[in-house]
Amino acid sequence: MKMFKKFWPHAAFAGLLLATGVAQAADVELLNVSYDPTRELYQDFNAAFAKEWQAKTGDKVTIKQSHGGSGKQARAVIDGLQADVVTLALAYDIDEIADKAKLLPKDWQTRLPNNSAPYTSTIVFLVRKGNPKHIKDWDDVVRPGVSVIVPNPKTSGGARWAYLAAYGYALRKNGNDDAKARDFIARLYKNVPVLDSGARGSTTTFAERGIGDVLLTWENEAFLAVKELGSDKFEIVVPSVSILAEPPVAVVDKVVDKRGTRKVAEAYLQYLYGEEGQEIAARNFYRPRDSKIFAKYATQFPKINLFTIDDVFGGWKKVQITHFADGGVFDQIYRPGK
Amino acid sequence: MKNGKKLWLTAGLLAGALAQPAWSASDDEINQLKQQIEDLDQKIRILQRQQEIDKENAEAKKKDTPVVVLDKKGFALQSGDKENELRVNGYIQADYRNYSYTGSPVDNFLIRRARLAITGKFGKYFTFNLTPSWDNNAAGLQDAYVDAAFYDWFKVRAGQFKEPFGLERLQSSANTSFVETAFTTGLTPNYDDGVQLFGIVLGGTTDYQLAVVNGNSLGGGSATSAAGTLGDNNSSKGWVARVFTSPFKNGDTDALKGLGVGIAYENAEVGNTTAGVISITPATVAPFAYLGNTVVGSDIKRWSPQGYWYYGPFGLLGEYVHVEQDVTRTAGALTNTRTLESNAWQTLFSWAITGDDVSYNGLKPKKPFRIGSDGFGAVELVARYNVYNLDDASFVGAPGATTQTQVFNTALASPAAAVGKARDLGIGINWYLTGNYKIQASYDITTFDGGAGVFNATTNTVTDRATERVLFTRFQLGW
Repeated sequence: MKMFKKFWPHAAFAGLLLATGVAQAADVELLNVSYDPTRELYQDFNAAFAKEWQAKTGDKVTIKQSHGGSGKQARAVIDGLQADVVTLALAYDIDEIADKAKLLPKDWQTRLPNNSAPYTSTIVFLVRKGNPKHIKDWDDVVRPGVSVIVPNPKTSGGARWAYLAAYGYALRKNGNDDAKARDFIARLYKNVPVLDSGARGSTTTFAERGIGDVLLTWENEAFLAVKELGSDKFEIVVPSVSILAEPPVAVVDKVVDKRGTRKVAEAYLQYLYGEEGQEIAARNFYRPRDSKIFAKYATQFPKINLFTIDDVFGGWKKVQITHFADGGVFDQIYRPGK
Repeated sequence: MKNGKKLWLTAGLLAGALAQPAWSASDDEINQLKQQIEDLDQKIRILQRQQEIDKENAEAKKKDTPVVVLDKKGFALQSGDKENELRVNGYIQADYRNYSYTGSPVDNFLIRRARLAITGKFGKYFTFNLTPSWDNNAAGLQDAYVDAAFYDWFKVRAGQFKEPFGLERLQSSANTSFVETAFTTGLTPNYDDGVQLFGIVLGGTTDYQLAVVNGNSLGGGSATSAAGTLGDNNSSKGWVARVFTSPFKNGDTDALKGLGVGIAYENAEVGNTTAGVISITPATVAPFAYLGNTVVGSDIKRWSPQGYWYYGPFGLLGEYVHVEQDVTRTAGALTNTRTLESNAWQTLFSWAITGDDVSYNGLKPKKPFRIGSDGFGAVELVARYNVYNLDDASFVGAPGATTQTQVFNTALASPAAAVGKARDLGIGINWYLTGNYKIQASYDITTFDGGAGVFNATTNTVTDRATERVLFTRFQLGW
């Protein structure tokens, strides 16, 4: 009796702790912090992965999504948003998370195939049906009287790709004359009446609010707009040249190790490279890396002359410092309302 | 004929005039107008969209911007998304006591309580309370705990907190109807260290608490017990359980919504001590004490049925507390061990004569006091009667004690210093000027039976202790 009297408070305390553990859910939850236009992609992908994971392990996984401009999302993760994985628009944004918050190693891009980019995309033009302003190529979007919708490159990954696609075109056209390319990009942004923070916002501005003559957007976003809002309202114009966009993905090491979700997070990203993941990407108008799957969907994707950021600009770090950092080229050429 | 020609001519001219538009615009002009309208339409759409984007950005920024709040509920710092909060509340009680009986303490002003409650929450589940105090000019610590509230019905508290036992004890000291609490509260445990499981169940009508604590909180009238401290002197732990329900809270009968009943039980493990659970009078005097070399056993049991009823301006609170403790005194070969049972009960009545609603959690005047307006605040009349019974066995010597000396040396208490019963009648008036400021005045008359008065050597008897008559006044500011 004495022993019981001595030990029962410990047992009660242990019972309280156990009950506390039980009260926390045993199911796994992941947070995927992604860029703006990938809502539909990850809606399909998450359902497929959850089914696969449950069949394979018996565990239930719930994936929560956060979407927004890629730069904005990266800053949110740096500021403490507990992302298990990030699937952003460009490698630089994930590099920032590695550099500033030290949440994953600097060599994160080497951990998955194709520089951790399971699919690619590019930048195209979405115009109104009938193309009333006769927009055929980059020179047409800088014409006076043409209203261009594109997001803010300070917050949106897609906007940075679009800016670089236009700049790259201008460099190629003018024999790498940077001053002429700068003038070209200044004329383009003079035609931009509204800057949304992300690609989806720009689609809303153009397609739903009826603002602008042309939307510079992700290829997948353009296809989705035509599919969802009607091919009787919009058409896609493929410019003569554009940029190869490689949106990367990464596990956020410090978060998954703290939350104990590493295994499922790694499996989640690897599933993007598998057959099912590549099919889902293609069905959502992302260009799959898998050559067999790409061949299956080849007619869906227009042939387009693509350059890479490394070819023309020497990589993201250089681009960020020159163009998008405070006081960079974009800040110098863009004056709202002027 | 002439008229017919005229008629045809007129008709012809008329038809010609009707066929011609009143004003003729060229296609260019029309196209220009169309273009202007389209341009204007675009400008309006752009403005509207810019407004939408600005609003979205402002909303997003709001989530990151902390909010500072300073109002009658105190000072608070909140994160933009309201997930995190730091709040500072507190109260000051400035009292005056006037004693009018022989042998009383001196009349005095005192800072009865001065407390700063720092509370906060971090995220969805976790809150904390840190309340330092300077009661009676002595620094101390009241609450110091963290809560994890996973569900309404399942919450965990760890740290230092009021043991979930006495009904009046669990009321905030800022909300009590009288300046000093009743005998019942003196028998209930106060702050202790431990861990508590608690929650609200049955549609929000019923609270439950189950705590494992050091068990060393003896009671008394302050954060540290009348005779003991919060330090633990043994490895055994106490436990306390309480259930309190307001079964008609969600019902249709308004008069019954404020009815609540409950019961609490504690098995404390105080370790062998010379202290003991002893209540105090409203004048904060202990009318009872054990004799020297008396040891109170570690195992103390208490239980308390309790309840209240509040309806509009009327309130009634009642509780009964029963305490069992083993007490031993040894003198030579004689040992006197007895399980002493003491108890106390109280009935407290309150009436807000200004028609405001009284409640267990205090009173907020409907029309706060303001010079120049008809707001006078709220006035509450209060009355109570409470009784404290000590076990007569306290005064009995050890079995086998045959001489007066043996009885004296083994009795657990002496009538010269300890009463057998105390009764208190109190009346009071409270003026709540605002929700933050109140003035209280109460008068308590406490009578005693069975000793602790003056010893008459001739008759060898002890007269009863002198009746205590105390006037309490208090100015209190809380936020």
